[in-house]
Amino acid sequence: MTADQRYFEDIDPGDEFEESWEALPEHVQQYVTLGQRNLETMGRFRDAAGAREVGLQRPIVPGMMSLAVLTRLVTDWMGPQGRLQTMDVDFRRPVQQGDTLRVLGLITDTHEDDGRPIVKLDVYLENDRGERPLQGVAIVELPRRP
Amino acid sequence: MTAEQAAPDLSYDESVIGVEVDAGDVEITREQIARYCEAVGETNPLYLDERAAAEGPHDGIIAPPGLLHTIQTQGWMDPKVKFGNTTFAAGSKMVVMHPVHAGDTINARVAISEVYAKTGRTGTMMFVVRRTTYRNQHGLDVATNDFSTVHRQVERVQ
Amino acid sequence: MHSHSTDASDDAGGTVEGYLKWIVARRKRGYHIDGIVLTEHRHFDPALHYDALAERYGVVVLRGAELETDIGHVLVYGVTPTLARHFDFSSVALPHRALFRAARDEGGFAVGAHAGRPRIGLAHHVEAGLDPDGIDAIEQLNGGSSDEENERARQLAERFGLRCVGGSDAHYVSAIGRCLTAFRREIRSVEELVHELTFGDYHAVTVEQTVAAAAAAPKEG
Repeated sequence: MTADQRYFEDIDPGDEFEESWEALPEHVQQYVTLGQRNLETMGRFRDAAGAREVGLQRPIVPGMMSLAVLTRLVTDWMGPQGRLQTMDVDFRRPVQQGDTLRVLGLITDTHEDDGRPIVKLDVYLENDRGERPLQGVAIVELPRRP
Repeated sequence: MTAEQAAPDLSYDESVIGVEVDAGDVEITREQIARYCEAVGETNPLYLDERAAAEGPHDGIIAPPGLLHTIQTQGWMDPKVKFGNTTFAAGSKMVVMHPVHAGDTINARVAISEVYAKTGRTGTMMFVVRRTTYRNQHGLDVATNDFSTVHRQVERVQ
Repeated sequence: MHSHSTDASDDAGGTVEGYLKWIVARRKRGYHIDGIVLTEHRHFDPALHYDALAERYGVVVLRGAELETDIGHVLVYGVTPTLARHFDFSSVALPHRALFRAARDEGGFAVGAHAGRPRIGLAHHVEAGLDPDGIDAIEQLNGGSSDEENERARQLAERFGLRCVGGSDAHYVSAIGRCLTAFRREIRSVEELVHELTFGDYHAVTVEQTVAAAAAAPKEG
């Protein structure tokens, strides 16, 4: 994470940024015990046998955990004064545990909304098979350069 | 072939649409925020570093937006979808209105907003969209999330 | 030829204005994109118009629908009130022969969408024994399909002499224009689109190919 601040004046549509994420099984096990009891009981997040029960070859990552990683990309990028307004995503395929994924953001639009500097981004995860298991749109309000 | 297969049962209980249910209160603690951050790889000082957070725009530690998704909620209405033998996450639209601070008590209210069918690479799918509204102890709505799940018929892998 | 927006598709994140802004930005980088056709899932709202946006950004915006039939998804251009009355667009299993025929009879044109995809593409059903009689065109290049799926569609078109369009199947702004249809004649309305699909000369292209085409032929219609 960087504490650097991003300013509205410094960005343009077409700008891209990315991180890498390794979906480690031990982190999934941490995530499923955070609060929602139904996640902990779902075999698909635990092991291959549980995954096979629901037609999958390998254990997968909870969708909301993948979303958390995608959200982290945006909140790290925007800096402490930025404000995440909306995170709207589709879960298109499961993220498999053990995969290393690219976590990407692409600025598609900058505009003012009621005087507020707003940035729209396409955000997605991409695995090494070229698939995008998670794709969506983030809307962020950025500060102006002082 | 597909065109001659029996039509799947896409019926459900329409009476639950729009019925909002109080799904409980949860206090958001610093420990909970730290555990969440560790699981998802968050190192942002706004969530973890008391001093940095106090000097930041929110006057103290706040929770990452996604932490709200991990709150244990209960008592949703069940639309009793007949189709499929399992469910997967399908989509999430979160609107963030205000930050959640460490120490806040968050109340969740849940309503089924929509149920519909469509077809995709894996065949027929039924979607259930559930809207959760998160409100803090001051009566301020801090976020909403439209979370959709997809009901699918899957074959067990041998 | 194939795009979805937040106005009516449940799984789309792109707004119509977002698509048009992105196309303007793509043009500045040398890509040749004249317009888009919005084909919302299981839906056609005759009251929606994008004329003002189209004029503001200098991009043609036309409308069709992506419907779901017993042989997969079908793109319909030239949706009429009669067509909308005769078919329940929200259905996920419309009878495909009746739909293709009705579209033609009503002065429209139907295309088998993402033809190489399992279950929801025409190739899957032809391999299972379907006779594609009455189907004239397929979406051979689809921006959301894999290379393998698009190749399967190409082979289907070759085998049955089907005509081919390309479509981005965009759900998000950055995907618009990924795959396109190159027409010999300029198109400014749905009527002209249907006419060209029925009688004209066209083929599927990727956005990268539009740069090469523009370089080879400085003035393209």
